Amino acid sequence: MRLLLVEDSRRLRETVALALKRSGYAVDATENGEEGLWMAQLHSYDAAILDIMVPCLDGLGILEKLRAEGNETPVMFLTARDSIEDRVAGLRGGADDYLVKPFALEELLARVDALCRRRYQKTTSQLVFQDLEVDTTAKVATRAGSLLDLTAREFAILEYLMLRQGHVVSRTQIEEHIYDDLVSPMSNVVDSAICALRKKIAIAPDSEPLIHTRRGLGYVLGKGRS
Amino acid sequence: MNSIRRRLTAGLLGSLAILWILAGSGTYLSVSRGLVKSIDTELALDAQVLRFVARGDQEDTLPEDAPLLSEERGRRGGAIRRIQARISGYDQTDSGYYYQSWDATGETIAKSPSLAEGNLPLPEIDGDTPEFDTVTLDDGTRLRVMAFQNTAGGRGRSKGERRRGEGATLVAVARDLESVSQSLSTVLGGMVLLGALIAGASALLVGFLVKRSLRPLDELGDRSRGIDATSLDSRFPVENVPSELVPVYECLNDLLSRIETSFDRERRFSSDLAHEMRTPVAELRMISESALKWPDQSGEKTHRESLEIAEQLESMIQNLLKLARWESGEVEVETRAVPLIPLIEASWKRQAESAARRNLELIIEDASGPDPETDPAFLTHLLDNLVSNAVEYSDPDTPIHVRIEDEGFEISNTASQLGEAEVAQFFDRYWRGDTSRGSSGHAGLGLSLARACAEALGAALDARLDGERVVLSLRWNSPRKRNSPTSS
Repeated sequence: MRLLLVEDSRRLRETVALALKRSGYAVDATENGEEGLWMAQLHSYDAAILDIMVPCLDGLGILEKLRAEGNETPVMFLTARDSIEDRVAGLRGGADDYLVKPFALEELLARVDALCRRRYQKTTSQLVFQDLEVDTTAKVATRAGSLLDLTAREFAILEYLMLRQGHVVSRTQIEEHIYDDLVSPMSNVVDSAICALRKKIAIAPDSEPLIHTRRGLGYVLGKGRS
Repeated sequence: MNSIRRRLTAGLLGSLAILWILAGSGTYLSVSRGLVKSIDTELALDAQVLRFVARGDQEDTLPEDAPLLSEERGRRGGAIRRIQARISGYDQTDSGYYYQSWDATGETIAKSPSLAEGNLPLPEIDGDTPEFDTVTLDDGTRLRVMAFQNTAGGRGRSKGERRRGEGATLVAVARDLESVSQSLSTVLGGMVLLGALIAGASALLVGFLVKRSLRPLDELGDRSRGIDATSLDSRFPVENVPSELVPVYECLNDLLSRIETSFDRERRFSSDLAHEMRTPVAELRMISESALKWPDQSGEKTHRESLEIAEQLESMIQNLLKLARWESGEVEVETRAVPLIPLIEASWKRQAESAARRNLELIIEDASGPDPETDPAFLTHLLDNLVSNAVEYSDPDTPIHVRIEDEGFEISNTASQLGEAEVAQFFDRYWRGDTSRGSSGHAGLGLSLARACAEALGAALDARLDGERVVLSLRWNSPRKRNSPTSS
């Protein structure tokens, strides 16, 4: 899952971004409202976390412009403004969630997880495909009851494929949703990660392959409808 | 007694009581005098009759102003009977009529049987003018006495002899004052009864009037009780209130306005303070929780950032404490002649990096005389804040002017993004031109501290907008003691 974080406090921005990355998210972070808007317009984020009081363009302004353009990326405000009026204004402005500083890390992760699920119309953190099960909250994946030992990046790719199961997902889409801006478009990190993931979910020599390649199109979990 | 209503009621009732007592006393005395005067009139008539009888004159010598006799003039027999009837009381024991006569030596010639063994006091009369007096007999009987000089044997004496008092006797006629006392007792009883009724009615009437008159005060109290921290925008309506209360209402409205402004400022300050604290606390919490969640990935950076946050919070608290101390005047100022220009240049040097980044230039105009006498440490702190503020909010590529005059100095810079509203909030604690909180190292306390610092130095710091230039002006409130130019 790829997230946008707009927060003007350097330490908080870096710490939150790092925590999200450690939890398996790809995070693009900026301190500037205008830059945040530009990034949100440029990429398809699974969720955006916005501080309200940021320089150049405040969080409410970013949200207003995104919604006016038809961008439906789930947005959570992360702000020190805790009055009822502020919360109502934020939620009425089109935000999906509102978290007041200071906050608990686990709460932030749970809320971000919920936002990402909402993006794919999932109401539960349990994703199931045949004998493969993924718990997006606990960050646990099992196949036929056996625990899969996945890296954060591999888990993120699997989660994304599970969310889009039956649909062909292009390499670019995976890059956009799993990797941050630092990944070079020319690199083969996606292919390598898919290869590693296939090996890990094949828990036995006769395990049915679940991730299929659609040549020239991308990857699909299951038979696929391309 | 701290109640206006009670004071007014007691005052009015007390005043009314005094008035009623005075009026009652006046009436009582008036009635008393009237009654005594009527007795005196009767006694004067009796005296004339007795003088007439004693003189033995003919009816035609009766005085014209003796009405009883003049009415009966011409009816001689009837007149004599009436005279006898009038004076007959003086011959009876319990009639309440008294008389006594004395010769020239003071020996009693005759007296009425009603006196028994007692005597009327011997009058001292000079001339023909009768004298009236009230006396008390030995048995306690109070009498009204009229004493006069009577010239006996009138018919055989010339008028000259009568005038000289030759052969004259002293006569005193008196009447018992019992009837007068009874009348006065009746009058007094009536007055007391009437007074009690009037007192009761007055109490009710005064109570009602005072309550009605003070109703606007009750309404004022009710309205005041209805105002709390959430309704400070309400005001007392000045229309249709008694003119005496209009100044009070206006003062209260003015007070409410000031309180509202003060509350707004405090709310803003509390909100800003909470906001200022939330971000570093959130940072600290995130760093700590991340370190706990991923202990193998936390290291020196985590600790260093935690320390930075602690130092930031400490600085914030110290600034707040400093502000509180300066605002309360709990500072010791040590004054001496301080050259301003070196201090300004030193402050500028401390901001040189930020100023260079924005291509700002410092221009100092010195139009002052001797150096001001002030505390150099406080002045340095103040200048640091002013210069830092100018560098922070100045448009890039513009000059920052400092003009030094005898009365103080001004620091001005071009700040096209600031308007009157922003300048009006300059000295509010935690106000910042940029609403975001993390983009600069400023916490929004600098100008508040600068103003408190100026006040501690006995100066006044103000801000104004001059076109696109923001001017921060410091004026020494009192004439500064100055050294001679050579001593600086």
